[in-house]
Amino acid sequence: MNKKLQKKTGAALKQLVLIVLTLIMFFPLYIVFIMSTYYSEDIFKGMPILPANYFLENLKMVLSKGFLQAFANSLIVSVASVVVSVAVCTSIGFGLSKYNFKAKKAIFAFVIAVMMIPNQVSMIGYMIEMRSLGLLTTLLPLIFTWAAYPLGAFLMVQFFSDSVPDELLESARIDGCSEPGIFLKIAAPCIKPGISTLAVLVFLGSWNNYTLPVILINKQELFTIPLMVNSLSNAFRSDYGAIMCALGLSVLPMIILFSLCSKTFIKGISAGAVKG
Amino acid sequence: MKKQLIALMMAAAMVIPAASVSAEEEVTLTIWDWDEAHLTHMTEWYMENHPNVKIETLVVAAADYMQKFQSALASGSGVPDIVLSEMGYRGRMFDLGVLEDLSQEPYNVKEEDMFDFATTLGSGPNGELYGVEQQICPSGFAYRRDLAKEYLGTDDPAEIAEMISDWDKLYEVGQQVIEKSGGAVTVFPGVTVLKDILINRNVSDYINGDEIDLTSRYTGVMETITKFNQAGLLGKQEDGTPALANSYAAGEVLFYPCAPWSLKWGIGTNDPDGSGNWGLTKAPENGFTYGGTSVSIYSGSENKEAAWEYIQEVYCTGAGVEEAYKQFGFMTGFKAPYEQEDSYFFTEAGQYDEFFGGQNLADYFINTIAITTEGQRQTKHESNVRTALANVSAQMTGNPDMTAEEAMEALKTEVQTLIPTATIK
Amino acid sequence: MRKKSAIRKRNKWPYLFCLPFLAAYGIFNLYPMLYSLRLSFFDWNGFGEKVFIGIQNYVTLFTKDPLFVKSLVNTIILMGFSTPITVLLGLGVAYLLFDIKRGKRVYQTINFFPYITTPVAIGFIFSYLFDWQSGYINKILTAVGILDEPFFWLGSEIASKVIIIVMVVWRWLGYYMVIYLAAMTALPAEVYEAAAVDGAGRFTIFTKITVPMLKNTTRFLLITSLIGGLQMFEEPKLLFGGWAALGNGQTGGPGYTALTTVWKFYNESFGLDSRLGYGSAIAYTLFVIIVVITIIGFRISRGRGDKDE
Repeated sequence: MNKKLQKKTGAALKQLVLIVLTLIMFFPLYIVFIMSTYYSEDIFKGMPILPANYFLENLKMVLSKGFLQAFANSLIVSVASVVVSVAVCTSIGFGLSKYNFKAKKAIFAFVIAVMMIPNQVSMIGYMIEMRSLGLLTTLLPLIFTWAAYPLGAFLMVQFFSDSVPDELLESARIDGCSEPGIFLKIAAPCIKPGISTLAVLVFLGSWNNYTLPVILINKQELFTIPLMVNSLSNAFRSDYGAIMCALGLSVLPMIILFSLCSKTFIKGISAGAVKG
Repeated sequence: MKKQLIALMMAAAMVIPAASVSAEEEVTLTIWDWDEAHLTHMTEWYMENHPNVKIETLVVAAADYMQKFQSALASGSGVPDIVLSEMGYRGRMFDLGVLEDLSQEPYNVKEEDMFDFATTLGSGPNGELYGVEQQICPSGFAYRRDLAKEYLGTDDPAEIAEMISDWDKLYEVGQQVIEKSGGAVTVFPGVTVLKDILINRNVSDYINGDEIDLTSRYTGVMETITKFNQAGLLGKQEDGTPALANSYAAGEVLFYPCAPWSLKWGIGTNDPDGSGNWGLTKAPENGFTYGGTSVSIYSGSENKEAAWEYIQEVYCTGAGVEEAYKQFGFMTGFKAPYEQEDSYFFTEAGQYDEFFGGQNLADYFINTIAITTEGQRQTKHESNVRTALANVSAQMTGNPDMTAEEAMEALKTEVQTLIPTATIK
Repeated sequence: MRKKSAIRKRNKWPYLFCLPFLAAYGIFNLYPMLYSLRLSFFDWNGFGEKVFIGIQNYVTLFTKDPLFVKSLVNTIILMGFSTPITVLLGLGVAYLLFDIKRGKRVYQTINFFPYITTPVAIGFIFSYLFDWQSGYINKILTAVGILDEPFFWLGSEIASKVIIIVMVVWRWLGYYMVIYLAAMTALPAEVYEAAAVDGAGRFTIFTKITVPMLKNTTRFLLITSLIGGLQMFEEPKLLFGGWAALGNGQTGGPGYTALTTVWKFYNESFGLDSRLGYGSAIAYTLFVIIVVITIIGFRISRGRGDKDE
């Protein structure tokens, strides 16, 4: 009996901690959504906890300043960045973790080393390079910047090392499977949680990126969402209600994306759940 | 004869197409601005009237402007034809040396064309005219008529101006207000707001290359701020904070700095129900500038003439000035539009005249305030000094016991940190 | 015989797998990095002449620029607190979440929200929370009576640093939690089952089995957090970018307490007095420091890890 009670109080306590923690984490985003229903000046008159009724006006304002175009741009850039980044990083992650070869240590050290260079350093040089390639009138520079994502490579190395047993690969080789086949059909599926994590990280990094687009993009039609939000302020006043509306709308896809990806986590758990 | 005729015809054939080409030549201008509403409206208006001009606009936040501009310069491409400079970085932008001197050919803006303060605000250290004002900001004090009647005994702008005709008088009047209201109503909002009022008057050329004479320029400012602060005459509503925005309607403050743009964005937006309850008077001694944006032409632009035409039309003396005034209340820095007979500035009631109890605001701004307003000449280090001033006034906010000497010391230290090569007095 | 050719065949594959990354890096990242490195030996304001000055930038950094040294100290302090806290809390929350039945999806998703939120919104939210007169925090604290009058949070040197650390933890907790969750999910299940059969309690399983098996992930997270912490820039800038900082935003907070090294780099390169060469020198000096600290961190963690084995 005692053990059961212990377990129950333990579980209840856990839930309590989680609830408090989650509320704290959720609060700021909640404020963003609430504020998007307010008329900007009213936001500061009290402590907005409950929604107001200005949402449609804010929405109209946001849409009239090119939100949908910016949304589409952000989506294109982020999805493309994810595809490119995942492909490149899983590839090198696999190569570095599951093989022993002469250059292994050097390349691995290289990956870690370049992770340590702050990315702001390369902004001007990158801009010059993109200009000489004639790409400054496109969204491509925003995508290419994620192709060689050192953190992503490092992440994939760790996931492959932790979660793909060598024996699995050996038996596949004995069965005559080709190396790329092993990579695609056996190893990569093992780290689906890792890949979806990487996808989420790259998507977010690209979606929320402000500094690089500010410098690189010179056409209003190519604005991503963080840039478009600037049009909601003028010289004297920032329309915070509209800004929060735009930001709230821009957060929605991430929420959807993350909820979908978390399914993969759950699948993995039901496959090998911790019992007891 | 035939040869001559042919030669004549050929010459004509060359000239005439050339003439028609230059009349219909397609020009593309690029403008970066942070004020999306004004930018979109005025460029569309202009393009309607000038079908051969295509304007590419880009919304760039004022905070990002300098960075984006410098990046474009560094990468060698994408620099806009028309460049805007906000007060905060204007000195630095001018100093880059990539803007056209509008007093030279082919622009030929003469000093007497604009108000004095507009000329100096747009000038570099050697008298080059780098920019014209997007809209001028000669400023006075806005006050609530109900508060004025209660604590000053009158709400008439001229009488109030007389009561506060210098800063000492204002100080005494302020003390009376505090006593009467028990501290509920303060004379000004927070320290940072008063700072912005004080630094934009009593200007002098205190920056000479790398020599910066802070003492002569800002000691008075610091003394006034500490005097007012320690007597409790200042509230806690700092610049840009929600507390400031709320105070307009709440009736916590007597005087607010008021530039032409403040009518809509300061008072109108924050006290929407206060129509008729506001008044505008002038500040003690002389007027001051409050905010401001300068419009310039990039020296590397390939469309300088077209850019100048746009600027003239929209910001100087053209039809666009009237359009901008009607739509946005922007007032040009050039004298001619005001001196015209039946100038639309004065004959028609302004958007906010009724809000301000029927005062003829445009007239007051131009004819009472602007004539006593001075503008600070812009030098390379001006922007950094402004940053230091903002920093020090934030310190004063957090530390109300700071004396004027301590504030000056802090200012000198800040400026030295920001400009290691400077010699500071 | 077959083995030898199989091995030879295998020998080219690792290189092929590494190729996309190295090629992409070479094309898109290498040139800008080298450009900056070269720039650090020049004095350049972005459009004028580049003047070659050798290592003078680097010398100035350490001898004539007290703000640079201060920024290093700031950065190390901020990283020193935020890194262990975020990683440990991330592990703890992942542990709590891993095997609960009810509400797991909800908790997972919501705890990740801070990381999802656009930085623009975060800056606004924190200005809103910590505004001197009208901020939530002050309002709550004065209402409850802990404070007599509103406290100027962003005007205090120590409070500012604490708030930055809180902000970093708030923003990144979900990130570490998610990575730990993914790693824990991917661990082979047989070991758990065996331990459970042996009668081990959940906490024991966690500390004696799960944590050691997550060794690689932990090391990865600690090191990346270390590196990221030393490159800290967005959080302080966001915190001081709103109106709540009053005049302190541009200069790194009261007394420059929030000025991190990357922020200093940013100011030097893109601020009012753009000195791109000097800025690049700051960036590469930071790079060297990061390398040194990382190697130290690596050695320490490897030492501890090897001892377990």
